[in-house]
Amino acid sequence: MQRDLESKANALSKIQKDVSKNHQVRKQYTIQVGENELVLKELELVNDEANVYKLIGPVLVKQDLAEAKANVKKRIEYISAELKRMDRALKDLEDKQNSKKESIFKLQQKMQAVQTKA
Amino acid sequence: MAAATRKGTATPLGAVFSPEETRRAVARVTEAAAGRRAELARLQGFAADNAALVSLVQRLPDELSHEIMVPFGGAAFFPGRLIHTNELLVLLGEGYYAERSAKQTTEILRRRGMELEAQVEAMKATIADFEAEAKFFESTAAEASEGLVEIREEYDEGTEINSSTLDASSSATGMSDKNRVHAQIMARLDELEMEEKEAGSSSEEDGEEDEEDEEEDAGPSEDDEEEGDVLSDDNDHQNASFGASFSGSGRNDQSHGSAQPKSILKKPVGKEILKGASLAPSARTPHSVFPGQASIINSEIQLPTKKAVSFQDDNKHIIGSSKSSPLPQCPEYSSSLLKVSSDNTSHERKIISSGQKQAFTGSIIEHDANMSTFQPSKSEDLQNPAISPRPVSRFKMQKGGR
Repeated sequence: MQRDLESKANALSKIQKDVSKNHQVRKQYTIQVGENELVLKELELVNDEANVYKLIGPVLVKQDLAEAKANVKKRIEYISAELKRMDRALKDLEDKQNSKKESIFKLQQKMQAVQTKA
Repeated sequence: MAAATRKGTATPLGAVFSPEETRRAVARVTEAAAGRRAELARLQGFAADNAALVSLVQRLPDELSHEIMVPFGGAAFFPGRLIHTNELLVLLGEGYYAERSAKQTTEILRRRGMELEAQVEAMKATIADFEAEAKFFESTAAEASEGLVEIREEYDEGTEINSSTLDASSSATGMSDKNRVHAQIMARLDELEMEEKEAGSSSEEDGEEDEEDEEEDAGPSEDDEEEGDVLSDDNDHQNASFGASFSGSGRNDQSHGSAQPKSILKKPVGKEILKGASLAPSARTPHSVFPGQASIINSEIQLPTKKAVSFQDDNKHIIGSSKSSPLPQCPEYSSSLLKVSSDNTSHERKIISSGQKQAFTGSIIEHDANMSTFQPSKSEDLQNPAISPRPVSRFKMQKGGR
């Protein structure tokens, strides 16, 4: 029973690590989505004549305004989809975490009962 | 009254929330708050940079070309000129740049500044939340270390309904029930006075009566202590209703304190209590105690003397001071209650239950009679946030009360 408890505890800690990682990635994505939306807003305000450049590595490449807008829009959509996926994954992980916690708790109780009896 | 004594359990608060654990919780929350504060500093730095940039960009197109010292390598400069002063490549974000004029750049920067402002505000709000949480934990830890006892009672549906209806009706009608209740109260009062005389209560009560009469209309800013006092009386209904009618009010009012213990000693009548409460309406501090808490404290006193004694021991100093007029703390009331309580009927449950039944609106309703709605006023700075029997998150209530 001791070993069982240990294995369960390990699984729980692993799940918790996944949860925290998920949180971090989600935070990153949220920030990125915010920034992209800001960029899109500015691009809308730029008149068609202006030059838009994109920084690719060390190179500033001239970009077509319409193309840039489309790219940014696509990025926003992609990141939002990723975010949704992460949300679902997070929920799953949390559910698993809770169930593991419960099972560990029950096991602990059983062990305590056995110990008191002994 | 005839109400059967309810069975209850008294658990020291320290057992439920151990002081060390709460202290650790406080530490954790303060840590998180510190982290947020660092973020806030960073954001504010950004905002400052943004403002400086705006002013610089505005000055650039003033001249056709600016004479400057151009940095060269790591540690060298050479004189140079800044030309095309109205053409700027502005970073929009995510690696996108746009050629804009100085004026357009300032527009962009201004919008960015507004975004930053919004983020700063949000950060400040989260920090405030954390601080409130930490304060709450801190007070819990303090209470736990003081040896506060949580008293739970069985909830008797029948008696509760009676008392709650009493309260509801009284609050709704206000005056209509007053007379009826008043008559009951007077009867109780006489009973209690007898008891008190036997108990050798102080002569302060006489003085209190006058006070109470004057302030009857003060309103329901009574502490739960008053409720407790009422509770100490055997009058289940009345006590319960009285208790319920008290809305949490600042406990720290000295005058309030003095009035209350006296009223408690004297009359279990809700009216008295109201008076006592009204005594300190002006002095009422914004810190209101959870009615539940107050009732709990009161109930502590009312519990079997043994427990009361232990509680008393914790507040020995309070007991002594309770005799004096200004009683700053609720525990003082408790001590006075201890003295008075001949019957240890705990009606806290009732009161708490009835109190809890009503939604917390965070407003203090003034009632002429003691039949006021039991409105637990919440404040973030709960002086004695005893744990109410209902496991409502205090923090949540605090938040709601803000």
